[in-house]
This record gives sequence, C-alpha cells and structure tokens, in this order.
Amino acid sequence: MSAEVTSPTFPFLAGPPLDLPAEFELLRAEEPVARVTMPSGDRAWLVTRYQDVRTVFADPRFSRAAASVPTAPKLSPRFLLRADSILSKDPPDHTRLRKLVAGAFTARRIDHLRPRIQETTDRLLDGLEQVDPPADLVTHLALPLPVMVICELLGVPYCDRDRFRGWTEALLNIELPLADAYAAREALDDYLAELIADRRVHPSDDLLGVLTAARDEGGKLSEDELVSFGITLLIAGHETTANQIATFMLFLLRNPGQLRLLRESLDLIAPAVEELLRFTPLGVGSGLLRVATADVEIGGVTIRAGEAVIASITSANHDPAVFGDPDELDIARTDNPHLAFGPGIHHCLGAQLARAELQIAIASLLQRFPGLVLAVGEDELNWRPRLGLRGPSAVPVSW
Amino acid sequence: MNTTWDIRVDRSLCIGSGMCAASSPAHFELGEDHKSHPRADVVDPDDEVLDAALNCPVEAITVSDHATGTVIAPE
Repeated sequence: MSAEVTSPTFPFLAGPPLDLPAEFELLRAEEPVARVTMPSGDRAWLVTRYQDVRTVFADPRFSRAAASVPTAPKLSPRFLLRADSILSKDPPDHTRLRKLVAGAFTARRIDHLRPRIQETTDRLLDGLEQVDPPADLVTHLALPLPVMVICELLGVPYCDRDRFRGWTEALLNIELPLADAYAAREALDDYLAELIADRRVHPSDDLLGVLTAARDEGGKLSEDELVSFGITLLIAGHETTANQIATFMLFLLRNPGQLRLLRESLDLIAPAVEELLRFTPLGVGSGLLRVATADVEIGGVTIRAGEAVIASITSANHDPAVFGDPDELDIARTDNPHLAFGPGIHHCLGAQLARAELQIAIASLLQRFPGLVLAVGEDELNWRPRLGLRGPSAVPVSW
Repeated sequence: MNTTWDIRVDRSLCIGSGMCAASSPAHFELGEDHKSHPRADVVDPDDEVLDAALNCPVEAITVSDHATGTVIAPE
C-alpha cells in the first residue's frame, strides 16, 4: 500500500480541477473506509464505495447536527455554516424546516417554471451574441441565470447581486483572511434580516415571504433559522448551478464526440445532464461531513461515536461496481443512479430546479452557438480558490 | 371505527432520493433498484407519513384515507 493511502490529507486538491483525483480508485480498491486528515487538522473517515456512501447518507446515526456543534471535528476552520441552517439539522428539526418550502421545489412546480427559465436563458444568450468573441461564459450565462432564477423564487432583488455575490465569494475563498469570511457572514446575516424586515411591512408570496409568514403567523421556525434558511437558499440556489453550467461545458468541449452527439440529438439533454452530474467532481467531491452519534460499523470498520465521516459522492459516482466504464463520459448512459444530489434526508432541495436550469442552459447554448470553442487552453483557466463549490472564475469562449 | 391510511408510492415517478426511507424508516424502505416502497400499504395515522409525502421531491408518495379514498397528502 502506498504512502498516499496510509496517511492521506483530504480533500485531494493536488491535480487539475477537472481531473478525478487518482486516490479514489486506490481507496475504493484497498481501503474503502480510510482515515484522513482534513485542512483543520482534525481527522475523519473517508468512505469511497457507492454502497457504503449510500449507507452513510441513509443512516440517522451519522448526524449533521452533531457535526455542527463547536467542539465537533471540522473540515476547515473556515467552514462557517451556521448551526441553525437546514443543512446543519437532523430530524425532527430538519423535517420541520424542509416541509415549509418543499412544495415550491417539486418536479411539478419546477415544470411550471421552465418557460420562465427558457426566457431568461434566451435573453442572456441574446446578450452574448452581441459581444465580439472571445467572451466569458461565466459572466454571460453560467452565473447570471441561476442568480436571476433564485432571486425571483426567493424574492431577493437582482440589483443587489454584486453585494451578495461579493459576500459569498469572501465566505468561500480560502486565500482571504479568515476575518473577511466572518465579516462576510455578518453582512449576509444583516442583509437577509433587512429583506425579512421588509416582508413584515410588505408581505409577499415569494419564498422569503412564505418563510416570514411561517415564522410570524405559525411560529414554525425561529428568527435565526429564518435568516439562515434565506442565506442557505440564496447561496445553494446559485453557486452550485453556476459552477456546473461552466464545468459541464468544459467537459463537453473536452469530449468532442459526445458534444457532437448531443448537438445532433438534443433530445438526449436529460440523460446528458444526469451523466454530467455523475461525472463532475463538484466541490471537494463529498457531501457535508457527518459525525457518528453511536458506534457504527461500515465496510468492516467501526466508526466510534463522536468521530467524523465524509462520504464521497464523487468517488461513489465513479465506482465501477455500479457504473460501467465509470471514467468515460457517456451522455446516453441509461442506468445512472448517481448520487450528485446526495441521497437521504438532505437530498438537494433544489435538485429539480438545478436539472431544469442545466438542461435549458446547455441545450440552448449548443443550439444558438453550434461552433462554440474554448478560447484559451484548459490549463490556462483560473479556478476559484476554494475547498468546496469549486468552479472556474471565467470560461473564455469563441464561436 | 379507527381511521387508517393508504400509502402508495408511484414507482414510475420515484427517483430514489431516499428521503422517505431516511426520515421515516418505519414506513418506507428502498428496494434493490433504490426505489421506495411502503413497508405496509395500510397504516395508522402518523405525521411522519404526511411529512414524507410533503417532502418527496417528485410527489411520488400519496397518502389517502383508507375508508373514503380522500387524498390527505400531498396538498
């Protein structure tokens, strides 16, 4: 067994961002539940096989709430997710919060939003067409589309985008002083509190209005939960999708055969997006860290109460036990039970919305710009300096 | 007569998110194909079942009154 396997640090960030870290294949084969050290210096168990990853996400003894107390092992000292965010809760608190907004994100509701998402995409692509190439895909489509959509859903003014985008960036950028991240979190708290105060004077039927009413009329959540919910929805609602639109295009441009196939048969867009979801190492390639609340055996290893567990979605999505030719991008793949949205109770609330945005953005872009190419070498791309939610800061393209 | 509820999971809609099985393991489990099915088709009223139906991302779970057939959740 190599040295990398016996004392790895996680996340595996050494290689190019688009490449799958080689460590996963080795760990799945040799040490599927492995001890790793995180940037905080704390240790965790890294789970890499598909079935084990599913088990971790499904087992309530692997707790997000226990991972959110101050003394719990942390991925990074910069990890500033509030303990009152829905992402930091276990049932019954998680269930109580989730059902307040779940109805707004069902497949049926999102289907009704599709024409609006298409219209927004078309308008952005009209803008892109006006520009002399090369132009940046992130500025013109990947970022503004999900920002506009979540602003409308949540009721956050789009004209405030530079403010909340700046704070989000400061929260995630590992090259900035820690004090900047704390200041950004305070600023986001204050900003959301302002918007909520406005809802109390001017009630609205957007999600912030609905959540504010749920607090004021039904006492369904605390004031801190309300603010944190707003921030979580705002950031999760655009950061992930923005990075994915950009990264999906990079993967398609890297696989010209698959790109041609998709361009010629756009009815493959749904399976193509599922395959790109499976294929793309989003963030550090893991779900949020869990802490065991009891001794639990997994993959032959006993994880003790109080120890941290990272279940790697990226590794699971490339497990050859489940996916044939897992490292090949195959947009026509039919049996594709990928875990990109995380299985279990924290399954991405916005999964159906993300699917709609990704399908519409990619299909429309390929249709309108059939000659699209990367205007720089892949190795010249700049990537946002982050531990999680990684993505290129710009994708210059020509057509 | 005590009220009982019917639980139905539409397997053509189910995407196997596993939310119901994780939040209400007494009532739902995932099969080999990662799709959900109710452990029992007819159950005593339990808020956990309603929460599972409300939180299902594709509304694959329907809860109805066993005697009258009236849909209780979702909606």
